[in-house]
Amino acid sequence: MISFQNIVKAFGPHKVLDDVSLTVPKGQILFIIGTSGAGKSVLVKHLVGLIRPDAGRIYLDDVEVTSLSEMALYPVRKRCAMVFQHSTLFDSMTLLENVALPLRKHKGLSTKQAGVDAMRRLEQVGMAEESGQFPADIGDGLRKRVAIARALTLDPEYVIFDEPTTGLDPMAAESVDSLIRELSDRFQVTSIVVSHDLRSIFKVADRIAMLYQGKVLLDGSPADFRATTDPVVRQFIEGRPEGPMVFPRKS
Amino acid sequence: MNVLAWAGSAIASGIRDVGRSAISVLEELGALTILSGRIFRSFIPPTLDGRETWRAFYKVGVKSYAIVVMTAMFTGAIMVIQAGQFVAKASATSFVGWAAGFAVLAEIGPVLIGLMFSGRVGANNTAELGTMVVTEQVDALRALAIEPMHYLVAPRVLAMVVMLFLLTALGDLFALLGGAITSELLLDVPMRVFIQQVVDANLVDEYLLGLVKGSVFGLSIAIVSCHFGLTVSGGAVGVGRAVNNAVVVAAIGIFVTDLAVGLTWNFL
Amino acid sequence: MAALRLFRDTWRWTFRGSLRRQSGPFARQLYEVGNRSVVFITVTLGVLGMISVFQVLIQVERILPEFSVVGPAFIQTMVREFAPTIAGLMIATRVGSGIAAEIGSMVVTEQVDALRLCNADPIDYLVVPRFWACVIQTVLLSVYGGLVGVCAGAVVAHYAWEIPWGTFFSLNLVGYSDVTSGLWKAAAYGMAIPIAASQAGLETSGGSEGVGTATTRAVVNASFCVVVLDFIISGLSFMLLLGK
Repeated sequence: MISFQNIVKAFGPHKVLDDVSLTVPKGQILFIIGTSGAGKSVLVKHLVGLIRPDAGRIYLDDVEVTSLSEMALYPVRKRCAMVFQHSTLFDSMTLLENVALPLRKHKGLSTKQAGVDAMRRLEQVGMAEESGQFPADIGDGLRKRVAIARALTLDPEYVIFDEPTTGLDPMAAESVDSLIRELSDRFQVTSIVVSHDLRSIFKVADRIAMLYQGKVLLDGSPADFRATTDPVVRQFIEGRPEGPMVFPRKS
Repeated sequence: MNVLAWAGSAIASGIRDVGRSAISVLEELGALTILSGRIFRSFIPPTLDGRETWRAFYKVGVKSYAIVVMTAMFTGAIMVIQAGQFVAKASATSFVGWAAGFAVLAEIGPVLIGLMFSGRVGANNTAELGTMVVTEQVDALRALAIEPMHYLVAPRVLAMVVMLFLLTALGDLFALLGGAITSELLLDVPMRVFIQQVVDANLVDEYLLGLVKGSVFGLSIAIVSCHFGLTVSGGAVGVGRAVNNAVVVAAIGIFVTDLAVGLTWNFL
Repeated sequence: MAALRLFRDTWRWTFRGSLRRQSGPFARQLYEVGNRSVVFITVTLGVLGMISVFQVLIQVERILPEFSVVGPAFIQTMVREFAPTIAGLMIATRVGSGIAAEIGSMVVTEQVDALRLCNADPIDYLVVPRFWACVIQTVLLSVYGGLVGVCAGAVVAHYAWEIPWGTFFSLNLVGYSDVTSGLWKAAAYGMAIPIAASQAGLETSGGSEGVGTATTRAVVNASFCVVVLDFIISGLSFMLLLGK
């Protein structure tokens, strides 16, 4: 179970998160939606300690994350993986080395064993052929697949996906969607997905939370979102440029 | 009155500028000290990532040896010309080997090699780490529960210290070779005689002093370049600015530690 | 080769009145290159002066009975060699990397292309003001750096070895050829540094990594130019001296 309690975070005078509380039970897929700059990425980065809140607490099962030192966060990060928005593979390593790195570092495997294991994981995402290439040589969709393979190497119980389908073509987005669904159905993995891809939101999500002006505007099932009469939420899920919504001026 | 007011405000803003830059210097010094502490701690336990360390050594060596060797040869040549101008007047060519050898080994060789190394390897290190910060690769390491200090920074620091030591040891010899060639061509002192002069001058102490300087320069270049790389913000523009700052501060570091090592060496 | 073409084009734009048209950017570059390097040059050349005099005096102590020759010889070497060359290396480091970072950032953010679309030549607008600012300020900073170095050396000589100020500050050995050699060096470095740096900046490609690479290249190329020019000019002036 993941639980955000009253998180507040400001960058300079700009309050990005203003008293955000959210709870995600085990095995659920929570989509966090909202406009660009609404603080979605900022919120999920708190969970693995990449950003520290100004106030509030975060619990990962029984562990209180926000008070942990950088060293003490490492066990948390092994249980809770993160797929970055721009995939963020290591430029200086081949795809195989990228996936093998956490295996070498945390599972105590030798370089050779880690390579074998990493190859198996690349096969699972259909990237075995490209294993010797560098991240710069392949397209965004393929990089995303490798990033997901790398995040799953330590068999995490929780996975954060930061805009996993943004910038992908519809087919690649579709395969990422089904992978997230499968992780939850087959392995009971709890996922938090930051997204504004309307198509995948309604197809994959168990639950949706919309962030607006630093607060949770609406938290409910996809059905709740379809039925809502809130004008701001309606404007967002219908994708209309004009309406009551106020857009942040700074990203 | 206007002129007075203007002069007053100009002086006030001048004082404010000096104060502000003094504060920022102190801030940078503090940050560098903290980073040094964290780097030293990351060597305990001394288990560096094998691949990353090998890659660091390889890149540092391959990138810098050519420019270091060429710079060293020119440096030796220049020192012989400068020494030659004194001894030609006094017609005391027997001093050339001693004078040029002393200047090269104790002082100019390590400093110029260090400056070139900073421009090549230090700047490159800042650019590389800076790019990794800007593209979130450092955060990705942390998210994979891999400590960037231990995994990324420690191997680079080790590689820079060891390689600048070795490059100084090698570069000094090439500097003497460059000096020998120049002395034959310009001063009519045969190469063999020049080298004999250097050997007779017994400059072992100076050579060792140069090697100590090389290692200390390597350490200061490493810490400075890692600091500016890890604190990059603001995309491509930020990376450029960080490299600029890194080479400037590393140059100051080289001269200041040069003075410090020179003084300690002579008083010990 | 590309650098030589850039050098030629820079002069060509200069003769077409590039500087007169943009005295504002030129003045700003004079400030950027000159004023903002003063502290840096003061620290580096001051330390260099101190350490050189210190090392030399320790050696001379062993061989010669008295130190009257140290000051004049030090001042001569400073004028002829170290003031312009170390100042040149420092300017290559600070200004060279600055120029490349600035122009490189403009290239990757497509500002240079935007200039071209406005029919403004990047060499005219970006390189010429930096070039002349660098030439003028490198000469001035070399003279200033030499003064700082000599004074710092004199302080060491006076307080650690009790050499009288008058004995140290003697221009006995400084000849006409030393001064011209030093000034020629400074002027040559002043031309080579902005050309090497601008060339690296204009050739930038790719995002933040590209800017980093360009900046690195600028420092190395500009510093190496300084070392090679030092060798050439020292060698020529030495042969002229012997020829006399």
